[in-house]
Amino acid sequence: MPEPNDEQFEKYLKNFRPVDPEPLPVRTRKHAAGASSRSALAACAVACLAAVAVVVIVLPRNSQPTNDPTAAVPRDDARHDKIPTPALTRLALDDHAAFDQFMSDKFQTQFPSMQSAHSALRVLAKE
Amino acid sequence: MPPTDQSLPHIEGLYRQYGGALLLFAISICGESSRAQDAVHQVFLKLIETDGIKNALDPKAYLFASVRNSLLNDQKSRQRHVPIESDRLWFTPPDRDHAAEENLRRALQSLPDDQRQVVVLHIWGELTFSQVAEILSISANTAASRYRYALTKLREAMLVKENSNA
Repeated sequence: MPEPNDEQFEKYLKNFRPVDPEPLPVRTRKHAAGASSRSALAACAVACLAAVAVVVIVLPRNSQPTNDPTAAVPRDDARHDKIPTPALTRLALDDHAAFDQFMSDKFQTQFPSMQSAHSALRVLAKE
Repeated sequence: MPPTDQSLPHIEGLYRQYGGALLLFAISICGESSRAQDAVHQVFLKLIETDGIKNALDPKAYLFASVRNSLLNDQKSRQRHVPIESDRLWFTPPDRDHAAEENLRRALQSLPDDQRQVVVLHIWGELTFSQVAEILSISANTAASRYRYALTKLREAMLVKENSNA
C-alpha cells in the first residue's frame, strides 16, 4: 500500500465509525414504565370485563320478579313442582280435588317407591 | 432545574449524534469499555436531571469536557492505571473489514495517552484544535503538534501491520 498523505489518511480513518453506546438508562426506564403501565391497564381491563360479566350473569337470576309464588323456587326444586306453603294452603281451600291430586303426585315423586318387592316400605307394611 | 419537554429530546439527539465519539474518547482515556460507557451515561443522565446543556456556549465541546472530567475524577478516586482493553470493538469498520478495525485499534493503543486523545477528538469528535485545546486544557498549538505526531505514528503502525500481514 503506498503511503497516503495526511488528508487521504484522515479520510480513511473517518471511514471507521465509532461504536454507538448502549441506550441511555433513562430511555430504558421510560420503556419499562410504559410496559408496566400497559400491563396494569390490561389487568384493569380484564378486571372490568370480569365485573361486567358477573353483573350480567348473576344479577338477572337474583332480580327475577317475585309476584309469582313459584318463581323464587330454585330450579332443582321446581322440577319437583314444589309450591310454597301459602300457595298450597290457598289451593287446598279453593280446589280440594286439585289439592288431593297434587299431594298424591307429590307423594309418589318424593317418597321411596313401593313397587319394588324388597323396598323398605313394603317390608315394613307387611310387618 | 429539571428538564423541560423540549430539552429532553434535544439531549437525546445529542446522545445519538455524539454518543459514539464520546464513548471512543472515554475509552481512549480510561481503557475500559464498561467504565467509558458508565461515564458517558453519567454525563447525560446529569444533563437530563439538571438541564445544564442549556447554558453551554459550545454544547459539543461541553460534552467531551464533561466526559473527561467524569473519568478523571473517577481515576483519582481509584488511584490506579488500567491497561486498555484489547478485545472490544471500538469501531464499526467499513465493508465489515474487522482486520482493519483491529489494526486501527492496536495502532491507537500504541499511542501515548495525550496523543491518542487529540487524534480521537479531532478525527472522530470532529472538533477544531481550539476546541480540543480547551477540552484538554492545553494550547491550540500543542494540540496541533500532538496531532501531527500522532498521525505519523498511527500511519506507520498501521502500515507496518498491513505489510506484516501481506
